[in-house]
Amino acid sequence: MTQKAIERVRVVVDQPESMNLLGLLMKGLLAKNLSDDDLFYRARAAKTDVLVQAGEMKVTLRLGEGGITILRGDAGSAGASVAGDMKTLLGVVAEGKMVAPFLSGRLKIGGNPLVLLRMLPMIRAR
Amino acid sequence: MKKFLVDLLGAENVRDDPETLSKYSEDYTEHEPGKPDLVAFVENAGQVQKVVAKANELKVPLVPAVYRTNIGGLCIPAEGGVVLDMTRMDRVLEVNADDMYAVIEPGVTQQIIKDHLAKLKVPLTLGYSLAPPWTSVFANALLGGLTNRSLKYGDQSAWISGLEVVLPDGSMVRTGSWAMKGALPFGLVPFPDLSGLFVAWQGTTGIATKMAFQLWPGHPLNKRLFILTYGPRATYEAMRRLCRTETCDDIGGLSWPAGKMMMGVKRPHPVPQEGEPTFFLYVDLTAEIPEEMAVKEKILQSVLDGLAGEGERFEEPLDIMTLLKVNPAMGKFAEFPTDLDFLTDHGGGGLTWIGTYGPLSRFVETAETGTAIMVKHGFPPMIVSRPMRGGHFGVLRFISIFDKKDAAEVAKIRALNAELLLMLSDRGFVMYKTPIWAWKELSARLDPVMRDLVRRVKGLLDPNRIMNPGRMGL
Repeated sequence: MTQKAIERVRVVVDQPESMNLLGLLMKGLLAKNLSDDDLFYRARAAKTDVLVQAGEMKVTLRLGEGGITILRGDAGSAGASVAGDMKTLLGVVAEGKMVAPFLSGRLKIGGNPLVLLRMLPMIRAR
Repeated sequence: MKKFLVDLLGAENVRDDPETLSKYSEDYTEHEPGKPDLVAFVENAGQVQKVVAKANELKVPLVPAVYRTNIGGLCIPAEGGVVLDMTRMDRVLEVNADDMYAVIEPGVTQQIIKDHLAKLKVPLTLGYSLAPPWTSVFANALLGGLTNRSLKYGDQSAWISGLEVVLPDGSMVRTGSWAMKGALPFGLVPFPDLSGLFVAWQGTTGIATKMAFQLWPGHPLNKRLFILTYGPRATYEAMRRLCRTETCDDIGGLSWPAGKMMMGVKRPHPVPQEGEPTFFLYVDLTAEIPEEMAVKEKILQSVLDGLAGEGERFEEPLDIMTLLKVNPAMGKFAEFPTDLDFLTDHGGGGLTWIGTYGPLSRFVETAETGTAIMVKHGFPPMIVSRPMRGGHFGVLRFISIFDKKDAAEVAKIRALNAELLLMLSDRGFVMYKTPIWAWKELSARLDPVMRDLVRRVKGLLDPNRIMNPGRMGL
């Protein structure tokens, strides 16, 4: 990873004073992960936004030229979505537990699953 | 007085330059600044005795101080005089692992005692206040503050097992079992508890120079769990019921702005966003063996399930280690003492609170009313709360950060705190580490005979009124 990469891939929270807890948690994770810029470019190749929902909190991840913008709520532009309760989502993020919660119905995915597969490495805690 | 201090302490330890005087004339809070005439740095109890005796002779006010992080303006001189800076008295004088106590000086910080115990490898611990690592353990105990073990053991003054105090005439007294030659400082009994003449008096009756306090067993297994909740009733009813299971080492209840500020939002919008949890409970569990931990977790879950059955909403408990993996900012709650830079280094420099002790049965309604007041004044409703002493009472604090250089915001903060204080007092909550302005507001509510007795005790111990004058209406 180069200094140039760090400067290029940025994580921005839109209106941080009004962002929900989910968006702020995601910001810390993405900022840490995107020091590996390859993860970002692989995810961005999907060319769509992604909606993440934990309980009733929603954020939209918008992958743009220079990085990711986290928008509060459903921006209506997502090509894929992932939803579950907070513990299930954190299980996906922190431990990569996706299959069992999906099969049990605790984790719900929508839209294009290939997009989510591209995104997963970017939102996995490491 | 200056010549005496210079002769005793050396010129380098007596300051009256404008920069130093300005620094000691204020703290984090919105309280009115008060300039000292001198700041003197002492290194041992013998020096303190000599300074006090001379100040008494000359009738010069003395303000004892360490790191001045009390959020009550308690070390701001109300009537000038000498600030006696005791931060250099920072020795852990003894740790008795067999009888579970330590003897410390006033400048011992939370980090110093933690490192000291770790170095000795004794399986003992103490509680830490929700304050920076450089906060004085000694001062927090003397002021009746709390720690993350106050649920089990009470406010930190309850752990004091002996004090050494320089009285205003320069003589020195020991309290507790320690008063008898050859006895260890194991407790405040069986003598009359004279420590009460110095605890929660804000330095108005003497200057404590040594403290013995009780340590407690540490346990090999520790777990800190976060439970996101959706309202004060879910939060405080869970807190109250968990207290009665006697399984938790600590329970904290924090409102949503605390979480957001910890994750980097300097001034969250005063109203929470749709669908987001409004409180989080954190629960500390400790155990000797995994089976004990498993039982405690099961009891915790049964309490939450019971409340869920009554319609309250919770997210499932999240281990701090999982949260830490997701967002490193959560590290501020992974281990105590913790650096609360999101409260102290936000640019504006101002930090204040109305911190009260009161009954858990009134937390729900009081938190709701306090939240409405903070929102009305335009501040995010940051609440930090804990049950104490097994749940017999608890702490409920309304915390604000502000820009000290913005006069309009300082005025808003004063109005906010005044309204919060009255609301809390009306509901039977009692402010601790009480600043001068709040004492004036509250004194009319005090039992007049108690108020008079406080004055008489003060007059008996400090007839020349040299000890931190102006505090507590004294």
